[in-house]
Amino acid sequence: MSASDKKQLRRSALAYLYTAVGCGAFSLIYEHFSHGVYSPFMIGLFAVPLLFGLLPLGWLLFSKGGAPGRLPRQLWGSAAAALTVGVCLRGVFDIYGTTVALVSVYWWAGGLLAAAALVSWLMSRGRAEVH
Amino acid sequence: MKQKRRGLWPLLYGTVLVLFTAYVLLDTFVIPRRYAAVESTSSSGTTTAVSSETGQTATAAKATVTADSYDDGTVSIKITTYRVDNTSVYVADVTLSDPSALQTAFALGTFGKNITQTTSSIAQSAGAILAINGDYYSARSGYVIRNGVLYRSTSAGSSQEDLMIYADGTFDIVTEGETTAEALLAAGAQQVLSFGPGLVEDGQVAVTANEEVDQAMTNNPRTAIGMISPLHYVLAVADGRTTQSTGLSLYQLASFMQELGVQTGYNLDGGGSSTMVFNGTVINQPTTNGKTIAERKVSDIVCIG
Repeated sequence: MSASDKKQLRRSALAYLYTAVGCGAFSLIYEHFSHGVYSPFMIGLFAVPLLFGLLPLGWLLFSKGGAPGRLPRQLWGSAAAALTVGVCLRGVFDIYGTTVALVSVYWWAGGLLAAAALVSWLMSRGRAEVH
Repeated sequence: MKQKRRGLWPLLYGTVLVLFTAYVLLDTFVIPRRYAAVESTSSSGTTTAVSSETGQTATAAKATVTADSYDDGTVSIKITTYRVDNTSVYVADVTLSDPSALQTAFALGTFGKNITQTTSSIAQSAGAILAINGDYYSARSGYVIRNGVLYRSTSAGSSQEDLMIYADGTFDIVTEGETTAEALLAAGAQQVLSFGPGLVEDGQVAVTANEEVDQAMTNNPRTAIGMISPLHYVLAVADGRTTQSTGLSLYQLASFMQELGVQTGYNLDGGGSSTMVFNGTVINQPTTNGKTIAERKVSDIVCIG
C-alpha cells in the first residue's frame, strides 16, 4: 500500500472515529433527558460508524492489498451514513414510544449500498490483479 | 472539473438523506392525517361523546357537585388523593347506573395521526365530567375500537395486551396474538385500548417487579383504569418526575390498584401524558420534563360523560 493510500485511509478512519464520538455524545445527552426510557438503538448508536468505519479500514490498513478506490469508499460511507441515521431515528422513536415503518428504508438503503461498495471494491481488485 | 464530480455524489446523497429524514420526522410528529373507520357494529358511530354534551346539560341541573365529588343519580364520582411511595396518586372512584356513560373520545373528534389536543380540551368538547388520557393510539400500533367502532385492526405484536370494555361495562384483558380486532368487535367490544400491560387480573397483580412498558425502567407518571365490580370503576393518575412526586413503577401501580379492590386493572399511556380532569379542572400535576407543569396534547381520552 502506498504512502498516499495509507494517508487517505487514516483520514477516513479519523472521520469515522469523530462521527462515532459525536454519536456517543448525542446518545448520552438524549438518554440523560429521556426519563429512564432506554433504547438499545440509541445506546448502540456510536457502534455503527465505529464498526462500519474503523474495522474495515483497520483491516485494509494492515493488509497487503491496495486502498479501495473512490467509488467503493463513497458507497461504503453512504451505507454507514444511512445506517447511522436509521439507528438514531429508531432510538428516538423507541424512546418516544412509537413505531415507524419508514425506518426500514434506512436498513434497505444501508444494506444495498454496503453490498454495492463490496462488489465495487472486489471488481476493482480483480481488475488490478489482471493488470 | 474532476474535483467537482468527486464532490457530486456526497452532495446529492447527503441532500436526499437529509430531505428523507426530515420527511420521516415530519410524518411521524407533525403532519396530521385523518383515517376512516374500518367497521362498525354500533348504530351510533360517532366517536366523540358529542351526544353526551346534551346528556350532561340535561343532568347537570340536578347534579350535586363539589370540588372532589359529583353525583347526579346515575353517575357518582369521588376524587381522593393518596400518597404512595413518595408519589401523589389521584383516584376517581366512579359508580355508574348506565355503562354507556363510560366513554372514549378522540382529539378533535377525529381518528388519525398527529391529531392531538389536551385532555382537558377533549373532555370539554365531549362534555365529560371526568376524563383521563387514553392510550395515545396515534403514536403506536395496535387495535383501536372506540364506542363500538373499529378504527384500526393492525396488531402491535402477538404479546400486546389490550383492555376490552364490553357494552355492559365489564373489563377484560386480551392479548392481540390470540385474537383479531374484528373478533373482539364481534364479541361485543365497545372499547379496546392498546397500551398496557394489564396490571391486575382476577384481583391478582399481573406484572412482575421488573416489568416495564417497552424500554421504561424507572418510576414515571402513570395513568390506569380498573374495574372493582360491574359499573364500579377507579381511574387513577400518578404524578412523577418532580421533587414532590417521584412516580410509580408498574408493579407499585398494580399493587396500589389491587389494594383499592380492583379486579381488572390496565395501564394507559403515562409519562407527560398522564392527566386527570374533573369538572373542567386538571387536578394532577402533568409534566413532561420535571420542571414545567403543563398538559401534553394527546390523541384520545377515557371519560365519564
